[in-house]
Formats: sequence, structure tokens, C-alpha cells
Amino acid sequence: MDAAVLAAVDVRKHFGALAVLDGVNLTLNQGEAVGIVGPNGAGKTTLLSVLSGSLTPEAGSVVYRGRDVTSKGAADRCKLGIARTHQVPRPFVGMTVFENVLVGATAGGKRRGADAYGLCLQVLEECGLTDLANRRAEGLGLLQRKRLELARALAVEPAVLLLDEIGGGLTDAESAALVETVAALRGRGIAVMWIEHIVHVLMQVVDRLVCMDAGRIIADGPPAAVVSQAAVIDAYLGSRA
Amino acid sequence: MTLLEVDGLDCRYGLLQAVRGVSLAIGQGETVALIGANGAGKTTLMRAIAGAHRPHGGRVVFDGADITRAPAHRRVSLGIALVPEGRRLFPGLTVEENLRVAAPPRRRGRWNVQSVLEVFPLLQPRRHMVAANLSGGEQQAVAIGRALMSNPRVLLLDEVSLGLAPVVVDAVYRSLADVIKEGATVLLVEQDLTRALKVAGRVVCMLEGRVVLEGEASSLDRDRVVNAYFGLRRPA
Repeated sequence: MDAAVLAAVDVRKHFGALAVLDGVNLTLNQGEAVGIVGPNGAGKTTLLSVLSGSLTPEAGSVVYRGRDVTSKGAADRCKLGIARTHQVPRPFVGMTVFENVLVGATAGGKRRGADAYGLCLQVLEECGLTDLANRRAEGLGLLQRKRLELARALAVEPAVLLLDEIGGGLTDAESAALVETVAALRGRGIAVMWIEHIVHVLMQVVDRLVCMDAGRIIADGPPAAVVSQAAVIDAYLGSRA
Repeated sequence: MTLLEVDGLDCRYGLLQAVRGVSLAIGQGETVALIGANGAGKTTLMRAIAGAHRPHGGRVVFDGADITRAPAHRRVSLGIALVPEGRRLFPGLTVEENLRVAAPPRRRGRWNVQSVLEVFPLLQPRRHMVAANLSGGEQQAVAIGRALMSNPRVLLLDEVSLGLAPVVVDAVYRSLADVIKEGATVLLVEQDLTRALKVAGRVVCMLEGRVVLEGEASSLDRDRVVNAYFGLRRPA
């Protein structure tokens, strides 16, 4: 039996008159990787923000390990074990790469001193950032910033990792390495939710694929089945008519 | 006859490679639709052809001349006009002023304020209204009209229908059909596959910076396009 770690229950969110999330139900199980796809404006990032606590839904709830966390902010959810990355990287500027990761490692006071440093070094190595550890975050290129997003989130030692478009613009080798990293995280029991436009990359690693369109989930199931559903194809490429 | 040719084009934003070795030839009078998911490199490719993004490698050849290093304004006078994503009108100028801005002295031809307004009748009553107060569809019509004002030999249209209501998209495409009928050469980005297949003679699908499928619109079936679009291989 799958154990749900994180769930969105009938979540609704409007931006003005626009229903960005129009009654979304989604469950993420322990050690599961779920890919989220959908055309621009489908509500993918908003869903991720509601799950991570940076946006509050108008209706519905977010449940983490059986507990309603809807009213908890992002910082509290981070301490509970929910970490995210941002589509447009948001490093702490004025701090080095190492310091950025250290923020994650010390969040919630779980680790301190040498213990936290050790974790940082390990995460930096895992994300290919060791050589850049002493560079200031604002000096990084886009791909390096994306790696830093991932590193800072991993340093939280999350139970749930929410990824927002970290795979764009990678070379084939880098994509393959990223797939391997995500597979390894899942293997460690971390639940991963990954928004990505590069569907075939997602399909190499996710257990389930969820397709959103206009604030709703229009498909949720095994990846190969989801991408062949007419509704999914229509959402991307327009209807056949 | 090939009018526009892109040869082994590479475009980067820092370490991020958005266009990877793309080669493409567009014949005089041809309409080609460029499709692909977000981040596939469509807009960057269009911008590189228009001179708004300097490529890292490869060549852009127009009417037999290598224009890879030519600045954007020079390409306009050669006959390349881009309708950028998001329209990018001058918000404080009226419809007519937005059109006139683009009429260069050197390129004479069929298009002027009057003929643009005839092809886009929805702009007729808006002629003296500032662009900021127009609807999305009207803005798109002005943006296309502005590009036509330079009497281009090739028209680059990025995201023709993005953010527009279906009925407005229909109106824009009806006008576009008139432009195409007159022998324009068009490269357009269109997310709606049915529409792209209807308006274009040829469809080019990009995935992660590369061309993964190219063919006559009449010969492509939806399944092949879907597989290319998502980067899937046909199940064995």
C-alpha cells in the first residue's frame, strides 16, 4: 500500500478573475517520482507554490503526512521536510554558493557547525558545484544557478522535493545525469514532484505523469498512458477539429 | 528558389544552449510553421534570423548573402520583418503611428497604412487610438501590420495566437491568409497544430534546440508530430 506523504485536496486559487487552480486533487507517495506537465498557464507552478506554502489557496487543503499544513508558511513546511526549487532561480545574492547551501543545511536548526558543513560539501559534490563553492551566487550562469537551487533544496534533507523546470537547456549528458540524480533521490525514499517541459526526460524517471490544463488535472497515471491520451495531446497541440 | 537559409545555427544564453545546430531552408513564397514545446528554441531561432540575437555559431543566409553579422535594422531594409512574441508595440503611439514607424524609405511595395487597414478591418475604427488601449487581438493585428509596413520579403511571426481568444485568432488568420495568398514568405510559430497544418505548407518541429521532424503539412500525421513534439519514440 502506498503511503501518501503530500496531498493537495480540492485546492482552488484565483489570480483576479482567473481560476489558476480549479479544484486540484493530487497525492504524492513516499519514494515516488511524479512528473507534472501541461501547456503554459496550466497552473503547474502555482500548484507547486501552494504545496510548498509560498501561496495560500482560497479553498481546499494541503496535507503532509496526514496533517493539515494549509495554514503553515513556506519556512515551517521547509522545516517539516518540504523543499522546492524555483523556475527562475532565486539564490541569496551577496552570499557564496557554499553559504547558500548552508542556509538549507541549517534550516530549522537540525544541523550545526561541522555537521552542517559536512552535509554542504556532500551536496555540492552531488550537484557538481564543489569547484564553485566560494563563488558569489550572483556570478553564476543560469545552469549553475539551477544546480544551486537543487543543492540548496537537497541540503534541507527533505522528505518531499518539489522541482520546477530544472532540466531546460541541458546537454544530453547533463540531462542523463539529472535523471540519475532524481532516480537516486527516489531510491533514498524522497518523494519527488517534478515540473518539466521536456517530457521524454521526465518519462525516464517518473513513476506517474500528471498533466494539467487550465487549472485542472486532466490526466494522472503511468507516463506512457498519459502521453497517448487524446486530452493531453489536445492540451498541447490544440484540438483535432 | 531558397530565400532564407539557416545553416548549423547555434545560439546560447551563457552556458544554456537554446539552438543546437539548426539548419533550415525556406523557399520564396513558402509558409513554414515552427512548432515545439516551451524552451524548444523557436523564439531564439526567430530572433537570430531577425538579428535580435547574435548566434554563437553557424550562418544565416538571405537571398544568397551571408547576413549572420548584419544588425537587425539592416535586415529590415533587406526585407526581413519580425513580429515578436508579446507584440511589443509602442504603447503611447496610435495604431497609425505604430504602423508608420516601420515604413522605411527604402522598401517600396504593396503595403502602406491604407492597405494594412484593408487587410485588418478590425483596426479601421481603432486607427487613432493608442496601442495601450487595444485588445490583445487588435495589438497582434497592429504588430503584424507594422511588420508588413516594411514590405518584407520574409515575415517572421512568433506565437501568432498566444493569449488570444479563438474567435480573434480566426480573424487574425483570415487576414494572414490574404497576406500569404499574395505570395509572402512566412515563418511562423504556432502552438495549435491543426491551425499550423492548415496554414503552412511545411511544418518544422523543434525539441530542445534541434529540429526533430520536418515535412510537408499534407504528409504529416498527428501521431508522428506528437512523438516528435514530446521526444517519444514510437512504441515497439
